[in-house]
Amino acid sequence: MNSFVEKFKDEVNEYCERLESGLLLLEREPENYHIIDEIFRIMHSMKGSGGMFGFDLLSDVTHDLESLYDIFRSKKRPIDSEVISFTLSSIDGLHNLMVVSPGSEHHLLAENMKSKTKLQIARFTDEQNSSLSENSSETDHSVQSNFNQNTWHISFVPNKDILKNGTNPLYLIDELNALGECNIQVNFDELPSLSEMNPEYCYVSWSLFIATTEDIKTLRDVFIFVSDQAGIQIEKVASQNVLQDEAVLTSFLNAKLNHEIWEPTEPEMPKPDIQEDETEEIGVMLKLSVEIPKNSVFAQTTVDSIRVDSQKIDQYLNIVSELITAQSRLEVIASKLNHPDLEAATENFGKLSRQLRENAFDMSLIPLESVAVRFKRLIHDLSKSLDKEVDLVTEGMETELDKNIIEKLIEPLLHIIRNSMDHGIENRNERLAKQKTAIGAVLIKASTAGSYVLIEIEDDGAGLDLTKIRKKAIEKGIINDQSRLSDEEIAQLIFEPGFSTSELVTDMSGRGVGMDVVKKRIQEMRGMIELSTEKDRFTRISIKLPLSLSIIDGLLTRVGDGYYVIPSSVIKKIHFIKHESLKNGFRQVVELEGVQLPYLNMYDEFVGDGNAPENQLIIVVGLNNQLFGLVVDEVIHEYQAVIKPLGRLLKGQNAFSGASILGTGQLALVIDTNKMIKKYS
Amino acid sequence: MLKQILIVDDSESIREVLAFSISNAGFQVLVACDGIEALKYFDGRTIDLLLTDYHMPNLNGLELILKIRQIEHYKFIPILVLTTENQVKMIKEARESGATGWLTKPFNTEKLLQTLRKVIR
Amino acid sequence: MATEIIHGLDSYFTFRIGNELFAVNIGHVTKILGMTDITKVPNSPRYFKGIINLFGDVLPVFDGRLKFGFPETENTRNTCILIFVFELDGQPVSSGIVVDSVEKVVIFEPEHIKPAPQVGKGFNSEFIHGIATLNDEFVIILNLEKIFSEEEISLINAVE
Repeated sequence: MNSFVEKFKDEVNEYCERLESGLLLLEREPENYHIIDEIFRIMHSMKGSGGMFGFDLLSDVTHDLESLYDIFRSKKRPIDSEVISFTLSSIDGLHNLMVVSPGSEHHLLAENMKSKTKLQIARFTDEQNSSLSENSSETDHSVQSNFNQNTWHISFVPNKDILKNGTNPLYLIDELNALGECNIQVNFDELPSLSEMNPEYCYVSWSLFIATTEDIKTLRDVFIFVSDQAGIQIEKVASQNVLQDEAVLTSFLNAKLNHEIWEPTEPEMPKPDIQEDETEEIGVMLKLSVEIPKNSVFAQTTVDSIRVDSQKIDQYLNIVSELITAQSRLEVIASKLNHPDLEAATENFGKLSRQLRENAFDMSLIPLESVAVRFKRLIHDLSKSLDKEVDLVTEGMETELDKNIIEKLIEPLLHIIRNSMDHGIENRNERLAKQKTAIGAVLIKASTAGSYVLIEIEDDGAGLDLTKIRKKAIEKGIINDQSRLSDEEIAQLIFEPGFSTSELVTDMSGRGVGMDVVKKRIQEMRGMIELSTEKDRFTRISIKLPLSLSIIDGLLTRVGDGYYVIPSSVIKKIHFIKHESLKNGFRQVVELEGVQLPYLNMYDEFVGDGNAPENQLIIVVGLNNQLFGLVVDEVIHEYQAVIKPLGRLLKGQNAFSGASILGTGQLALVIDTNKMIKKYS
Repeated sequence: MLKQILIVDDSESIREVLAFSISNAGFQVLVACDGIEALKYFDGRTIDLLLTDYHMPNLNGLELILKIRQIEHYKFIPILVLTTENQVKMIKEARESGATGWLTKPFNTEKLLQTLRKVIR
Repeated sequence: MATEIIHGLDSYFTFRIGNELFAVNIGHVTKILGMTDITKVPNSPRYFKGIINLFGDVLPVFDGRLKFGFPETENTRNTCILIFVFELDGQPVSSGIVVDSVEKVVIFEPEHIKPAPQVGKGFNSEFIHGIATLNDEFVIILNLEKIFSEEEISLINAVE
């Protein structure tokens, strides 16, 4: 059962995402009935499934929300933005109600949500109360003794066409038979001659006595599916089992025949009534729902894509990278054996494996679009609470990134957007005073460049207040008041650890994260972040990220008999260098092209036997305007490395981000330049 | 030969719960996630019962039933609709479209089998 | 790596490091490899030998001798790498240990396993799950989780 619950939770998360995107769209197109329909359906599904899996509170709350959307769905009243905002704000609540054993706070939350929903419903139903009352359940006033048997007479006269709904009347008689002792008469009076008989019709009816401890409700429930397709009368004959008492049975049937009222010990039960109303309305409804084209706004995601457990994708990628490794091994062997057929086959195999890898890699990428709704939501919420009107413009949301990166990227991006909304965009009056458009704009733009993705978040707000930042940095002791810094350098100070505090990050933006944390997160993913700003014009944050965390473009190098991969992204230059000149160098700093460059001689550090080769290379890597030299023995070639984690036992080591398996089966360590520089400079 | 029941629901969890309980009760189970997919099963094979959700994307439960009732071979097969409460209107619509009966969510295994017994043996 | 710990077995895998006979529950042993190329990871403690490529997975390998305080020796024909799987924070983790030789699989009923004596004899008694006897020889049954516990890992990380 638990796996069902997990599946259900996944579904609810997906529902919520669809709700969010639907609602945001609905805000622009309040008359889009596809969306309203979809929202209604989602609420309906959550209600039904919620009850199934024990999330009663969720089920309760969505019941009311469903009723609310039924009003709009049935076009009784148009939806308005208050309802949309209200529903958006309810989504988090729905998440929180997804608990198996709710505490009092959950009950409170549910009550709160329900009463708010009811208020919304009331807004739309003050003058008409039809939509809600219709599902009032039948109540049964008769209280039956469960211990004593009663005898009932049941007349079951199916309509001729009862078969067309797939009903088998015999099953119902069977069901009655199981409830108690029966005396059954089948009536063939209506049966026509064989030549006139339509085999699709039912011509028989039943008249039966049943002695049972069950109450009339249970008896009526037997016929619950056919009450609109059959004459069903259930009457009480006696408050005991009188099946053996022919006289009572006969006199009952006589009284019935003569339309006399039969008086059992208790008063007669109410007859089941068959609703005849609503038929017309239903006809209209049906026609409507058939006419609606079904290419709803969300349809594509459900039809054109399948959902695959992300773990399976990881597994798949693993297998593919093993295949690549096996293939490079094969290449080594083939070139050794020098057999033309083998070489041709190997080449072909190599081509296919590379295609497979690209394809597999492609699969692990998901579009930014999948999280864009969170940006929209945040801007929507903040523009209400900050009372700033903002248009969100997105570009290139179809750009794809490794799902692991996207997951790690969400928080930093939200933080940046929060800052833009909070500090960047001015309120209406300020904007008008600056002769700007009254409505602010936030632009999120993504694009792919080689194996990198660029993401820019730009607002047309006030820009960074450099004077204030400088003052703050001095207060915080990040710079001293003698420091001469360019405007650009001052702006960069917001990335300094310890800079972001209450002043720059209000409660709203807060959550205890500053831009330094954002920067750190981006760097952890081997990404870069830059900022540019102009007073009263804009603030733009640019983020550059690798497409994937598991594959990098690198330079394969050798030090002693070990292999090391240096990410290409950070490499600025490569120089030949004599080991001699490093020895003479002053305290691990070498002068190159007039620049003092700190460096690490990897041979001396990692091998350390004093036999470093005379001719070495120094690879200049740059990070955050800081240059550093890595001295290696040999540069082998450029190399696309599949990074394997070193495993949890080595998590704490501080120079390598993983290892990559070379074609020969040997391992190369992948250098984490960030950590390496920190450690050795 | 086991009786064959087709389950149609867009919620994977509901589908699985139904498939689990129904196959445990000794029926053969087929599943589909919407009406369009379900229709593919009506290719002449024997389907002894259709159990379908009401609200689904693409082809909803009612549309599905209407379509199936038009296929001679399946004109009289029992069909149950999944609903969430005894909504008179919804049930009425379902019956008009040709449903045999309905199953109200939430349900437990007992209720499910009890309802199945009304329409299939 | 798709390996799982198999619980509830009474079979133990025995091997030698130095002159001592060790055992681990067979449910933790996933592979025995001959000595293979071990890629050194610079600046790690001496008892961490490096990493190996095991069918596409990268696994750390420790030197059993150094880890348990025996003197380092040359590898022999019998030297091999035992691959273990054990639990770390609820996650299965694989790792290798270089041992001098592998012996055989034996069965120890739970009642034949005595608690570890509190005498330190060159190695940390915390690493020991219990002691059993086999042909008049003591067998030290190792507690893998302890050997690779977080503390130990940070030790690995901290050295140099």
